Amino acid sequence: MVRFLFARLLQSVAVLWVVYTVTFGLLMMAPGDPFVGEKAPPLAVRQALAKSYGLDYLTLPAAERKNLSAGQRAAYVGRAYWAYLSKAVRFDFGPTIDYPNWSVSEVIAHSLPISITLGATALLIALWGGVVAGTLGALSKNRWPDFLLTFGTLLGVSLPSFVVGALLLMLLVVAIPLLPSGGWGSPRQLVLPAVTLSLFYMAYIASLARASTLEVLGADFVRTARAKGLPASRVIARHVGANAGLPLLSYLGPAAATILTGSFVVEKLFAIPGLGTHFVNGCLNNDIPLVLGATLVYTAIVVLFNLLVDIAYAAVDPRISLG
Amino acid sequence: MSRVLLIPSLLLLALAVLCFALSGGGVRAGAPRTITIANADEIKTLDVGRMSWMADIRTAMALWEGLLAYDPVTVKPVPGTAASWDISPDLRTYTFHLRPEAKWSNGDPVTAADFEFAWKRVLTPATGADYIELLYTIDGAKEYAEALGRGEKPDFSTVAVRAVDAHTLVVRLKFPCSYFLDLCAFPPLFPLNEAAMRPFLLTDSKGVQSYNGIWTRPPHLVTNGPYYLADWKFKEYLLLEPNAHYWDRGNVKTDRLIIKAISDPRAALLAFDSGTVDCLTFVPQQFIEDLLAQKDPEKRRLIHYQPVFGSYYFEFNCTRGPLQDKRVRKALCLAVDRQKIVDDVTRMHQKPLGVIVPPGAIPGYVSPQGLGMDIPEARRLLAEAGYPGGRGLPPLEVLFNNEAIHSQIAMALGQMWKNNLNVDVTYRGIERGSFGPERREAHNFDIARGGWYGDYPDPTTWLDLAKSTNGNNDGRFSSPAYDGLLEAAAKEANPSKRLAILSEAEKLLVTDECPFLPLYQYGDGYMYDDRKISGFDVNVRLLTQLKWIARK
Repeated sequence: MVRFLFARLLQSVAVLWVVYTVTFGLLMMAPGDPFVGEKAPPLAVRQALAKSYGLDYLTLPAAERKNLSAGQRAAYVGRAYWAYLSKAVRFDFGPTIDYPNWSVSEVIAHSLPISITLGATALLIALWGGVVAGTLGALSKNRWPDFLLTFGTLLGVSLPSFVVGALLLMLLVVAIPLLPSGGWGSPRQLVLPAVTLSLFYMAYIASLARASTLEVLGADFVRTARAKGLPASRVIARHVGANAGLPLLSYLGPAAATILTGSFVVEKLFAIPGLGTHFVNGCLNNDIPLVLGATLVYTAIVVLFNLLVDIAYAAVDPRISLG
Repeated sequence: MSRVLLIPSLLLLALAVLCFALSGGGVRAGAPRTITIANADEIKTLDVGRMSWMADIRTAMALWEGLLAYDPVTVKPVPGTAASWDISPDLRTYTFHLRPEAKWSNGDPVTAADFEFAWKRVLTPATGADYIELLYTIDGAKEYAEALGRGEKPDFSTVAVRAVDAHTLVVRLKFPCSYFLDLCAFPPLFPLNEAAMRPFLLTDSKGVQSYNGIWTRPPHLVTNGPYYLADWKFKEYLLLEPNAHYWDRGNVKTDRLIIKAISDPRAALLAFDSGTVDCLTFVPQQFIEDLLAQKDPEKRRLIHYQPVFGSYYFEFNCTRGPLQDKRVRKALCLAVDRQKIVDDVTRMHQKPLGVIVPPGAIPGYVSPQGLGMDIPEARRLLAEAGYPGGRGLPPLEVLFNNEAIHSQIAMALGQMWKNNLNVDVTYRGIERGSFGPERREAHNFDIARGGWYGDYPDPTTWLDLAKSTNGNNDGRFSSPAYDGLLEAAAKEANPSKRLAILSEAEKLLVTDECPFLPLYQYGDGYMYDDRKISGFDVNVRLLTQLKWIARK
């Protein structure tokens, strides 16, 4: 177990490094200059500013940049690469370019808990909603609750969240004013965005749960349990459930990662100040420190959840052991 | 199933609760005399020296007060921190007399040295001031900033700003700048409390000084205006409360001013409709057409939309291909139906514009007659330039940033040029981030989308765009005659004669040289119920003074 964890840790560091390098390279190649807005101050001001970010290469006048030798260019970019790598190691990227009063770490510290709250709530809803619906579907196979479920699953998987979100807003905010339209701060404001975000995952989990429950229902040990005369509820809860839950567990890891990192649309729709919004805006505005920071956090989340799933698998399934 | 899923469920629940607690609650609402305003985006910066965005400027004017302030309705400069001022007969020396009762939010008196400190900081390139050039109106300022930019160590005493005593500030201008008082009410010229900022001073290995951005945040930020910053949650809200030390405290009638950021237009409208937000500082773009067209007068009256201090235009690259010939540029200008663009393309019925300075926006300035549509004349000019019937003219590339409105206008223009002059164009839409450098740095276009909001009430805020030495001259237009007129105006001490020279310069620009194709005057505005809220007037420059906002 310790050896496994150690190896995974090393792997994770390598993954983070590769992601940092690729992201940095892409940001350097991306067209655009984060220090040019609608009103361009004199070049000296922009260059002084770029220098304070260690990004002086970006504000070199086009003509000057063209005349650089490959070595000079590599020196410029290399300096920035090392500067930001050392910042990444300390996880202190300095101020963002777009909101210079706030450092990247502050922005992330502010917005990540919001995204996680939203994501974790959504996943919780998705998990239990999906499991209950899927099990009911499997138990009533090929009868109307099952068809209803299949139809609902199809809808949930195919409707994009901005459609679902807009529908929910129209229904529960405009038509029947039950819930606030958005923002952050109270649990009531969390309901609509979490439900919107959860529907896709709920649908997917429901179909997974239905399939795996069906598979287990047909297994020999279930037949044995029933033959012994156990009540149906107990059979389902103890014998079917325990085994049908496994495939879900392996789905939860990637689902948690995507739900935490992919809530951008929902965040925007409900005016939630989460990390997704910063990430996308950062990319649009060439906010290099912010994009690097957010990308690394996202990578760390994905790596972490995959690790958690591996550990969880070993814990519940005796056939798997961690080296 | 339950057992297997119990652990992850508990984990998720714990995570959600923990992170919710970490993320902090929302702002307390429901206190008496609270007003909530929503901007379309978070404040970029509260560093007055650096700011250039409208939302930042509006907030800064609520937190600080310059030597002067703007009248909330006429936008004319009125006494602020300075109770009075004297202007020398040559109109170049200004002596400001500060109110002795003016105080910072921590109780310190506001002194002339606070202005000197702030202005010196703006003139330091490392500060990164977008509006550094506004201060170049002061004698010696430009030379000082440029020397710093070259890495020299000039003496600030070469800049003609002098705090004679605690309450007297003397400024000597480079030229008789008629709008200098107006600039004194604008955030980049606001004072700063150095003592409050000092704990955040950073000095890097090369001795370059800067301030950690934390100085702009509560409880560290010390301001001298109607409000102080009580709380700031990034991308959520700013909370402003009355500054007890403000000299005009009695006129601040709002106890809590909450400024939110809602970037999604649908969410913003919903928040406004449901009453969680009292005022929107924008009319959501996607819905503007429907909003303006709606028949219900009760809803229509909530929208306060009007022409503002900005012009929308396309600009020609005057150094490349056939557009070097002013006859071709003029022909293209003459072949455009502006009314059709505002009626059928933007459908917001903005004011069509034949000139570059929005007429009527600047008191005392008489705009020249701009070009209208004249297709026979356009064809004649094109033939005269050697392209009869558009023959021989290579396709022209129109560059714009990829937003629906710009691409639609570009295509409408292309269609008009094709139909009226048989001129072909190609379109190149690129994302916002690359558009600026492509247009302003690389000048890689034939025709590019442009737009400019005026910064001060003087025609030069637009006319300087076409000066051959101006950094924002995207089309690299260069005309000695035009530059000469601007120079003559700068030297002219008589204000009305000066405006007449500028009008002549604009006439040359829009009817003869044609580096721009002006299309319309921007429209903009707010949404609020004027039966409930007062003091939130839209003015042509959108310089709303939140000091006066109050619940009726």
